Amino acid sequence: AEVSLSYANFPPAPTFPCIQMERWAKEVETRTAGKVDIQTYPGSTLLGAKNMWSGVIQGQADIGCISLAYQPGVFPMMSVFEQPVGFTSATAASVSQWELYAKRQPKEFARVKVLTMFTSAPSNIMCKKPISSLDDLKGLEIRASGGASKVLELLGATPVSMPASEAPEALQKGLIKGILSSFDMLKDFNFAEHLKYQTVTNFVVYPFAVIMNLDSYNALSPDVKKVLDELGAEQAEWTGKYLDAHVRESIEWSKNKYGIEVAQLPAAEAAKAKQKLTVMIDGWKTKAEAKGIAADDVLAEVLALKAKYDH
Amino acid sequence: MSLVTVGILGILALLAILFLLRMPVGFAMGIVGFIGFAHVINTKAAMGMLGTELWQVFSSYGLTVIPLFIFMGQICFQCGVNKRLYKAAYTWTGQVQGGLAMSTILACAGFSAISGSNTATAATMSTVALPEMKKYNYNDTLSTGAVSVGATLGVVIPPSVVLIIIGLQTGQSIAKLFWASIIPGMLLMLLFLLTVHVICRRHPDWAPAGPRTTWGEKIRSLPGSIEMLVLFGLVMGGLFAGLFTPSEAGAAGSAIALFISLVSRQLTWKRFVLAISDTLRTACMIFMIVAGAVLFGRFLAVTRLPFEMAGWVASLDIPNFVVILVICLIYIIGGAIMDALALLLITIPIFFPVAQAMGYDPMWFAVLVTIVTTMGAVTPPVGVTAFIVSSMAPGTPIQRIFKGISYFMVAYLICIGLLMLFPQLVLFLPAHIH
Amino acid sequence: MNTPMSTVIQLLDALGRFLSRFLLIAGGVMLTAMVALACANMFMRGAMSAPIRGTYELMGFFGAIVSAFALAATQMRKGHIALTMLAGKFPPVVDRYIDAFTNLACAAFFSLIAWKTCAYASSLIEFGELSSDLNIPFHGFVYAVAFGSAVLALNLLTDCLKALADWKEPT
Ligand code: NA
Ligand code: NA
Repeated sequence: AEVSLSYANFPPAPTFPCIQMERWAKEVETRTAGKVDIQTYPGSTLLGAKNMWSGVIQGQADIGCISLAYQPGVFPMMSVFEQPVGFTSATAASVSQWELYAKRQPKEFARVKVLTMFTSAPSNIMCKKPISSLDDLKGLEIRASGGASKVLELLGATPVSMPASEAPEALQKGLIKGILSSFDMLKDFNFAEHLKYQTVTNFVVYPFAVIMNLDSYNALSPDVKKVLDELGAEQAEWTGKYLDAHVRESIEWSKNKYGIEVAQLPAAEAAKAKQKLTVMIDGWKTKAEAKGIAADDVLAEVLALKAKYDH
Repeated sequence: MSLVTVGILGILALLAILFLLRMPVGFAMGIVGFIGFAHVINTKAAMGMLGTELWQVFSSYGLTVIPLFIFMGQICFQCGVNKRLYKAAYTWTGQVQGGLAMSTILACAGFSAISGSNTATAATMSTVALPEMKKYNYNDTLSTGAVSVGATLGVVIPPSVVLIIIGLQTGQSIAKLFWASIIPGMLLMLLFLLTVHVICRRHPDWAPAGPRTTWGEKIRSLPGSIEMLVLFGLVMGGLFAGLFTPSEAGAAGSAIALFISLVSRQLTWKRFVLAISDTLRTACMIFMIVAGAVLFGRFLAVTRLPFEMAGWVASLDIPNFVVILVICLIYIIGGAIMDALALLLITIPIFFPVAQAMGYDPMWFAVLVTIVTTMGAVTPPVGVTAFIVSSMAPGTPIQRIFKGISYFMVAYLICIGLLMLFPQLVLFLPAHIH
Repeated sequence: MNTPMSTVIQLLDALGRFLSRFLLIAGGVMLTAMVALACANMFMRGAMSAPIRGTYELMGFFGAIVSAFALAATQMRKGHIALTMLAGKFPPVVDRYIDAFTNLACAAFFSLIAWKTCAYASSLIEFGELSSDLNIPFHGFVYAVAFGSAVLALNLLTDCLKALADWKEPT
């Protein structure tokens, strides 16, 4: 190969950010007819979650996958996707995120080349007891991180932030009663063993971005650049679809193996929750406006994109 | 020069720097990792790595368990709790040859049941046990060896950081992994006790048998162990009852130890300051080794040496059990030169599917790998647990500690062999409890 | 004993000792704060069902100070473990030069770490990056880690000069 690029990722190899990484690497290698060779480094072997952003900017890796929530304050515009706007599928959220980025080209990403973007699946409540109203959540200790812990706080639950590695033990010991995250974790982290009751709430998604060092990108030949550019939208959609299918599979697996139950949060309760969560979106607006972003415009566009893709 | 060759040269350079230049282990791993990374990727990238990795390691919540548990042990140590405890132990088992070394191993096992890491176990138990064995004229080859291997029970007997990490990486139930490791943990402990017995038969002068004590003396010595039992009981109880996380257990343990020693008027300002400054130095030394291992691990990862090695093993056209033996051998060699956790983080995603594809039970493989890599924590040249014990035994050269440990290698190998021959030792409890 | 070299060594030695001691005290305060914070959090969670938000994050930050501030003091007591099995197997002059070289290399390494960690802290300010749980600026803690590394580098440099000058501790 003429060029060899390193691609760093932080979660373990079997998780979706790494699966999309391997798919992307293979696609690039095929479409450039072997001109480009991508070396992938899953599981924080090259860069960890928290130094991915600065690591790619400094050239520690050519390409890196970042979770926007790990750098609060750095992405005033794109953090709109961390807000509780209620995406119900990863596909809709991922496609919308990429479209918003491609159209607006926010300057918060000026120091890097963005290759693609995608989101996690919507976060839902996985709990030891059934949740049929917001009252059931009162004072309940639930593990969450970033935007999800704010959601819990606003709804009256007690968010507990702890490293994912400690969650299973904490569940076992009753330190926490549930987890607010996406359903793929039921299988991937075996949470279905402890958490029988699943409530579909679609509170938030976690946005990710695949970024590339600018010098590394600029050094590529025009035809290779073209391949990477064209892959952006396609990869966003592929990842969303993969993830949605994976969530369905995870739920099936958990139903068969542990007999979990999945219920919707009743519509009236969902409306109440939405009302309570507007504070969060307002908070985002204030912060975004302070950094010179037309927050109302951006939000309106996100909602329009959601209406277009999410059904 | 291929990248894998660079990786192997990096390992050789590390060994040369460690032995010939006598550079501190954490520093040496960091420097070789930095230079190697700069060579494979580029200098700018390596500099960027320096700027973030030390911060990432030092500020990780998971590692806060280390200073907190050390602090608990240091308070006990400064206030003489351990002296009284050992006096009790010696009164009860002293007339047996090697009695104190045996009770050290038993105490390590007990502490392992509340500590998830062998570093915390090593730090606490060596402050408690080493001065006492020295006082009773134990040979330091035996005493430091016993503490070192005893401390490795920390990650075999549950709770265990290593098992938690393997469980998360491979999607296994952590509860089941904990159950699965109980019998192997006890087995290893019994083999260590047996080893002490054999050593004492061969070197009667290493562990002098004490004078016979009367039952009256035995009973009267008991209150000396109460403080420690109360402390361990509260910490262990709280941890298993789900009142707190491991780090919180360390903090609660420190607070309770401070409280007990204040009430019993053992705690002076001077002892408090000594406890704190010793805790800081020990914790710092451990953190620096972890940080060095992370930098070195980053370098190895970019040479793809661990990946290539795993791929090579998977491609071999040989019987399954030979593959398992080869994997174990790789872990033993890898464990000898690098930190167990870093090694596992890099290799588990690759070896695990190999073992599963060959039809081995994932639980069995996890426990086996835990014991094999744990052994690496006490093998030279990079034996983190042995280093910690060494920092607590200023008069004992590290090579004498490694010599002491070498007597216990047979116990490890027997244990690993038994687990290979009788997988039921691992699988029985989880199958019958769940 | 009043060569210019020994004066420099004495000055650096005194400065290093002062800074190491100062940092060790600050680290000790942080360790006590960690115990207090963790216990307060357990109490609030157990008794009031209202855990202190951001405890995990703050514990990590405090822990960073604890270990970074102890770096220099640990080195002063030769607390960073080394493999000394070949010590004394070479002629004393060779041993001295090995010592000088090793300390110089380590001093350079930790100067680099201090410099790049500082740069990282500055980049946090530049990007306006906040901590992930409490959403507070945390570059101050990162600067502190850089400072701890810088003092360690100073002590290592002093040790290098001591080895070169065959300097003996005044008794
Ligand atoms: Na343990
Ligand atoms: Na080792």
